[in-house]
Amino acid sequence: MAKKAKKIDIRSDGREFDELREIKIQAGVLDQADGSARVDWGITMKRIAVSEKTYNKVESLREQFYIIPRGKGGKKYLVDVPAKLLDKIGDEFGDYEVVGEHFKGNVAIVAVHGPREPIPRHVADPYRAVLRFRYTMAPFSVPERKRPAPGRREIEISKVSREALQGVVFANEYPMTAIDIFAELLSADAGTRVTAITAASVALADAGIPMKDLVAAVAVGRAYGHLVADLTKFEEDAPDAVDFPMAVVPRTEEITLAQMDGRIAKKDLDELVELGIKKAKEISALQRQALKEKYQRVVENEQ
Amino acid sequence: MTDEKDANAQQDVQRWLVTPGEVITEERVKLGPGVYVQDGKVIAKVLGLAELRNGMARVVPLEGNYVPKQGDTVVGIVVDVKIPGYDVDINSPYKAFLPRDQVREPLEYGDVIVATVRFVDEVKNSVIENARKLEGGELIYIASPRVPRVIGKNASMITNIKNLTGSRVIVGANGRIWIKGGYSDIARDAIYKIEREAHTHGLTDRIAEYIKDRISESESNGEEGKEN
Repeated sequence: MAKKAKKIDIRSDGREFDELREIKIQAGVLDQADGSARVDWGITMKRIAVSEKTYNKVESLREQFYIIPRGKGGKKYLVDVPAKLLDKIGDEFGDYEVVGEHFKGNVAIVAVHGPREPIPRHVADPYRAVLRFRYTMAPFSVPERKRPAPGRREIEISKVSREALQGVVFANEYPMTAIDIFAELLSADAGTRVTAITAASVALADAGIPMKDLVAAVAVGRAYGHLVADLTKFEEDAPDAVDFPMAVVPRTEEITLAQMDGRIAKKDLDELVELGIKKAKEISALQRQALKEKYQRVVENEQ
Repeated sequence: MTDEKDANAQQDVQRWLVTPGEVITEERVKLGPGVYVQDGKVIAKVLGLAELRNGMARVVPLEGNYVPKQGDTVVGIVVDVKIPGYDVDINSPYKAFLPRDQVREPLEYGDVIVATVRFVDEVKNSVIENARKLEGGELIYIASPRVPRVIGKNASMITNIKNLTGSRVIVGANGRIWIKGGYSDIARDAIYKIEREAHTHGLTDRIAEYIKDRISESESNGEEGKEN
């Protein structure tokens, strides 16, 4: 059961409620893979130095905002605050000084190998290529060390991600082969499966694999009484949180991945689906731009 | 844009970069490779250059592994010697088989050959014929979809490279290229340059210029070397 949560009118990281985090996509980042992509998907955190008095007040702000106290540094106390939140509630921190800036979010690198000889050979299908997806998270991608062995969660995400992409690949053009997708998460802050799927479809296109469309994925949901797009880890842990990762074929608006945590009214769910499709289309534009930039760069370098 | 480039752009059919899922046209046209139809729209299915010519829409891919086609010339490497013939690696997920009666002299493991694809079966395994062994030289790899740019219209590009560098060049449709003799290093660099710039206009002239520059550069270096 969803517990009661205060409705708060500023989003915990200062974004608009339907605003995505900053997304940077690069195509063709690995030399040895047939196709590859890197996606950096997160927010900018500012590290600020505040007085001891303000630092003690920070504890109460942490209930509603994505703020991380970082202890004493020199004479001042350090706090990490999302850049967009700092613009909105900067007054709360009194006389602060910005001492640093860093990225907080998901980083996924995806390599696509193939179509290639399927190993073991007995998995080969004489009618189509077999698609394989391996999702892994680096031990250092989360605050507590993650055990590197693939567990229940990794196996599940690999399966649903593979199925999210399977429908768009023209696999029948490559019988008796395998297309291997390796998604490695170097940094994680909620929404890693959608980051991996978004990167994987760019990597598949970069490998020259025929597809109906580029699948774009995004998580939508509810946190602190609002329907929001692209939840952070902080929002995912909200008392009333609903987390709904979805993958969309943007041109036809088909949904190829839908999972959900939490309880939600039908009316709100419909609204979330609509929001997700709208946001997926924004991501799709970024994916296409990333693929085209790879070739644009060549033109600029050589002429 | 310079005048020269404009002229080239007009000569060539209009081409533009597309990603999978982009609509090429909503008109009724003939379907070439690299496209599919949904709801009456012609849509790209690969990353590449879209082209509308003579009422036909197609996408020339820029990436992708080689799939053998009947009639292709391929450069292969012998990976297994069997009694009826040879297994040949043709830089593809699919195997090629070369019957023993299609070679003049026996081959060994590791030999580089050039051959023609005679037949491709339903799971894309192929039989190749008219094999000739390639001795010495250098073997380079490029993305197989960009091979047509290396050959050029009516083989204009490859003839240019051969004439200017004096090298022997054999281009396999599978993306393997064998180079021997002449200014082979310049021929190699020129081919890599074509691969990188396969999606640009006016490439033939630019490559000819590039080769001439490189040759005159190396000649003047050579003369200096003699003087010292």
